[in-house]
Amino acid sequence: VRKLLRRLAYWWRRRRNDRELELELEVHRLLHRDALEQGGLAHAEADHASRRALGNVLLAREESREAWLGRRLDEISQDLRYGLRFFLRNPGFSLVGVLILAIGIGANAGVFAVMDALLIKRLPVERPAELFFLRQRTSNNSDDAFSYQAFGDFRSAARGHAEIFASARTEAVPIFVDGGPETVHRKWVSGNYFSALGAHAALGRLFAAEAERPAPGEPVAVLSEAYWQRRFGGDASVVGGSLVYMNRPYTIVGVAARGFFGETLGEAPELWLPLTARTDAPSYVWSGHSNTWLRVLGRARDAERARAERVLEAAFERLREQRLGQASLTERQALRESRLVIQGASGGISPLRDNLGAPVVVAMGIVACVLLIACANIATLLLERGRARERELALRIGIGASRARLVRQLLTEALILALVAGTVGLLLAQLFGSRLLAAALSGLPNTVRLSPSLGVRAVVFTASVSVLASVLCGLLPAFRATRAGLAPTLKTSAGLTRGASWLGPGLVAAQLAVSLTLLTAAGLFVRTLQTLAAAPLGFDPDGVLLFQVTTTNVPGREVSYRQLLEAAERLPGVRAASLSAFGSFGGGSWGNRITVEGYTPAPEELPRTYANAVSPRFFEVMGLPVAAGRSFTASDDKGAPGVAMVNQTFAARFFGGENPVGRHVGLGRTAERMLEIVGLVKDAKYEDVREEQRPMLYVPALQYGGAQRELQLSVTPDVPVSPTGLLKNLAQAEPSLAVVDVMSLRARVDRSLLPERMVARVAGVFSLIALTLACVGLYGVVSYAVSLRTTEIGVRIAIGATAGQVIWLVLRKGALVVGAGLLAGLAASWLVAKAIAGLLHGVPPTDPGAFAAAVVLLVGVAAAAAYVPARRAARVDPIAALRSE
Amino acid sequence: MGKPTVPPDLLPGTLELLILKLLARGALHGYGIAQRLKQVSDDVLQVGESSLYPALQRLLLNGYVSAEWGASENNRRARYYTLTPDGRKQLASERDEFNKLIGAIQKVLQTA
Repeated sequence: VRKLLRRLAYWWRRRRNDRELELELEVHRLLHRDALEQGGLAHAEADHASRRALGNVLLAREESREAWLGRRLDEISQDLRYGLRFFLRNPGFSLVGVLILAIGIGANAGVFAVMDALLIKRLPVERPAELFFLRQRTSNNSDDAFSYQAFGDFRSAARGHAEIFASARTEAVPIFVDGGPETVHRKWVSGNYFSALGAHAALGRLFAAEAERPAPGEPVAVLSEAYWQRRFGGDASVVGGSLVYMNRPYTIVGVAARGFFGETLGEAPELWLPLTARTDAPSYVWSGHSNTWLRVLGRARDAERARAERVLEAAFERLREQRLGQASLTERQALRESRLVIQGASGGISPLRDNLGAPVVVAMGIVACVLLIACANIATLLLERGRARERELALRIGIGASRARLVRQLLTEALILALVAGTVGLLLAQLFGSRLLAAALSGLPNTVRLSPSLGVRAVVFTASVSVLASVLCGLLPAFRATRAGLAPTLKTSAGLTRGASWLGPGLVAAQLAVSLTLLTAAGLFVRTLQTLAAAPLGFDPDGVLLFQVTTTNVPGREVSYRQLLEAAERLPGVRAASLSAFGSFGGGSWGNRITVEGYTPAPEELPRTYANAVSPRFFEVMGLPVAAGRSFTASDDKGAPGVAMVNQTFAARFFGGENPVGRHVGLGRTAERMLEIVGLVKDAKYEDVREEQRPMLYVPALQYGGAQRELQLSVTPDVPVSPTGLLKNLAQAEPSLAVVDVMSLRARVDRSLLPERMVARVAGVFSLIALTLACVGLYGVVSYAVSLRTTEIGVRIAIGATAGQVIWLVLRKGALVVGAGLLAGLAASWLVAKAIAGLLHGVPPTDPGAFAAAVVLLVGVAAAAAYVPARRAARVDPIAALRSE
Repeated sequence: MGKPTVPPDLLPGTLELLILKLLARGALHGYGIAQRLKQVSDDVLQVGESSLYPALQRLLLNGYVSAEWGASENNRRARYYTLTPDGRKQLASERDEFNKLIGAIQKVLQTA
């Protein structure tokens, strides 16, 4: 190593070292001269003799330099210089080359950054490899939510082998810190959460054992670094202060380390509270398994891991036996099948990853294909350059350069090109990456954040991709260009002796094949998106704004929903307002056991339905048509007889499709109170476009005790309404209610199509880029063929060939290439379509529409690309063409 | 030209060994090394600059010698080479190697 350092130091000061050596040799000579003079020689004679004696000074210097740098290094720096000179002399070529490769490399860097953030990055905690999390899996379903009781069972079972901890999903909630309410992303976590996860504090401390059970004093709270900076400007005195949440003061004990976001990728909690502080929660939250609100994780040392897994599995078995006793028929089936899955959590857990993991991998594959095409493109360009440089290279072989040396030189050139392109690509990814990502991921809930950045891994990845690209696009042309024998090339005028090469057209055909594959895949993804987007929702998603609301618990104030609705309907631009307990498309759901009058359940069947509590104008606002009976009214309140509405699937399942109006249904296994069904609502999608039709039961909000979580406003399209303006007005109308999120219903529906949309966009954009690149390649190959045959074409025109005949002559050449690409591309498309079948919805992988569209597009663009040079060929002036020879 | 120098097919590393040995007695500049070599070997070993200076550079690279500019006889500034501790160690080990090798060669010459 020290030797290497000395080498580097020498190289750094090579000029000076060279000069020093020169000086030293001169001193050597002078000393020799002095000695000769002392021996009695005359000055002039001594001078002459000493010069003669010195021998080959240059050789001494050269060899000294070699001693330090070695021959390799010297030659490499020479290659680099030649390469740079080559690119500076051919600015047009360099620019096009860099641009093409930069698109390919930049796309890879950008998608890699997303993949890194989503799939590769480890959690920023101590020894993340020791972390794991629990899931229960049935044959068709996977669930990572457990009840508090299950968490406790797991924890005590694993004691001594693993530390088990738990956390709830991050939610936006209102809190009070010196003054008015503000919305933060709050996360309930177990007391041992921070210590087991291996997190550190940036300030103060993180709560630990003292938060394990409800303590008499104020419960503790930890802030995120980002929130602390944003809200308190990084003021250290915040530690020891307090905040109020749900009427309860909490002491802020510390701030978590910068970049710590907990265990769930995509969540950005701002406030961590110990779950034992949830003293107001109903008892079903703490016991039984009806409320699964916790993710259960653990940390075990490698040596203990296997044992920890065994005891956890045993605990799960016991849990299952317990639950089987209280389960419905369908639940029982699922329970019997369910298994505990213990999965590594070194990268955190992420529902986002489950949704977007496969699409991101597909996107990576797509941009990798684009890079391949870009490389093939550069290779064709370099091949052509190689032809133009045949004489130069032949000359260098002539004066003694070895072929290996020339190949290395050409590869060095490709490497320079790729590295420059890589740098530009990184810049492109940095500039557009975040914007593209924002566009691709738009519509994630605001508690979800994913911030991919071009970190060290992305830069290393880009550098390796660049090097790989340079080898891919440089190797073939380098061997081809240096293959030339010396004599024939130097003899001929332009190096036209060899027949047309198959290499250039072959590369173009390959590019076309890959493009066709990408186009087909893009077509399939777009069709999937279209199918899903066109699926009937059952309601009208336009012109509706959704506000996630929550009570702020201002002391001494009771929320008046009636007042809120009245105030909201008075706002300008608002046509109608309604409330519901559960939101549409991502607002959670409520499933309940029911008793239906006149319906005898099959043995062991426990009738269930989805349910929601809604205010009178809900159906009007959401555009859900009432098919029979009536809608709820303001008089369906606490004092009035209980009523309900059901949807068509409900009526079909429990009433055999008969009109349900006038029938009765009760909530719960043994309903205390039967509700009269007053209306029948048409079926709709409730949470997801892809969901099966589900039975739905509505109860009036005024007869339902729980909190209303979503406010829907139907707004008029002609008056522009700004959600922020509405927000302000709403806050004034009902100060005890806080709005934590606003979104249009349309955006909410679109959000459920996020993975499909992302893949469709990436595939669409990049398949078009690929097609463009491939056709530029085709244009180049056909143009080159024309330039080789100019004379022949001139002769043909001279002896009477028509323009059409000449164009056909040239196009035939292009058609061959396109045909080859098409055949290979169709085969590849078929294979790829099979591979991505899992990501398609409502579209068979062999969808003829997608295939046909891809082929038509490819052939059309390719024909245009080949037609331009063909047209030029037809205009060849026969006299000029013949004269040029 | 035409001047007898260290034969080119001298065992590799021998020149370096000789230089190290000469420097063991004190710092010398390049010319001094050449002169001393000539003297000590009774004019048998004469080293040319094109061998001497690359050899010195190799020794510098390996850290066996260090170089410093200083005043020489006749008031010229010359570059003086000094043995480093590493160089001293290297000299000792190379010397043993060399003796072994020479011994082996002589054995072959005497018996074969």
